[in-house]
Amino acid sequence: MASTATALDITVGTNVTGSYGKLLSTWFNTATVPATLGASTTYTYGTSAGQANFYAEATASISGGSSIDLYGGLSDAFGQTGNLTVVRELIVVNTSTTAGQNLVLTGNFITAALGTVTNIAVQPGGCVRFSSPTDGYTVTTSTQDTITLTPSSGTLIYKLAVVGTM
Amino acid sequence: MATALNITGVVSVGGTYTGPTTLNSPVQRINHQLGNLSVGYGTGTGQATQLHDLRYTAGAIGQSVLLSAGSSDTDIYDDALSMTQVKMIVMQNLDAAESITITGDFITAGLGTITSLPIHAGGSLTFISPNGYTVAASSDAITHARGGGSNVYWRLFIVGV
Repeated sequence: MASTATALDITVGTNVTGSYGKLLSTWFNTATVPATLGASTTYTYGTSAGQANFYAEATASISGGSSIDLYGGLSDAFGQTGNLTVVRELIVVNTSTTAGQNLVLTGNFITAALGTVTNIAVQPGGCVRFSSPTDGYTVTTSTQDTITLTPSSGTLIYKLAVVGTM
Repeated sequence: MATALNITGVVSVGGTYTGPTTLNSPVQRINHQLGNLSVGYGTGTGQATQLHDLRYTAGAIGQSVLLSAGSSDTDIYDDALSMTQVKMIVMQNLDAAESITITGDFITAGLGTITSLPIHAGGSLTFISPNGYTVAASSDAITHARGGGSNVYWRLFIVGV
């Protein structure tokens, strides 16, 4: 394994802005309320809650099942192999624009670490984010470390980002 | 029923990640919008008509939020939810210590094939689909229960049609 990263300062967030209104016929005007949400975490370098020491992103065009091993099969931008023990953030994007062409997530990390799951569907143009800044999702080598990405049909491009500790 | 909606949701990653000193500590600068949903009012792709944004208490006994027609759950204007699609759902655990468990037939059938999803302390789950996750009358429930011994506040934010 290459030397480890030495610093990390990464913010991962789901942020929503907007408004939601209704015409009030009694008064002939529209009531509007803000639609806002912020679910963000800033991670510093380390292995404690709210910290991480590994970040990697991946993208590939796939036409069949493609697996990523979180313990020994994913490298960061510096060629460092991630032997992850905890995932704090997982984001997966399906870049397809074809209706019905889902990206199906399976593998023993998905099915066991994220809950009790058979599969998760990332719909075309869609995205899923799993965030656990304090506890993290446990990675166990061989038994709970694999993410398998499979198009429901054809070929699509996925994007994936992982923040974790090792 | 609401008559105006304009919402943008973004899942992003940003910051810096510094490599090993043996490589002279190169820095990776990160600035990604990995998920992006921008919807106006309507029922087509890129549109939505309903927003449900409410904080709940997850207790020992599971309680359900129903998204489809006939639901007693409502939006901010007290109009009943009658969704057929979910374009964005964010479930945010507002507790710093306890997890919650999410089940219900919308979760188990609508988002994939799922038995249950935990949302850890301080954590959140986000699902975005411009085309929309299907909500059927027979699979429209989001059921929540606390994972530990104390009741847990959490937030359910849904943009749908």
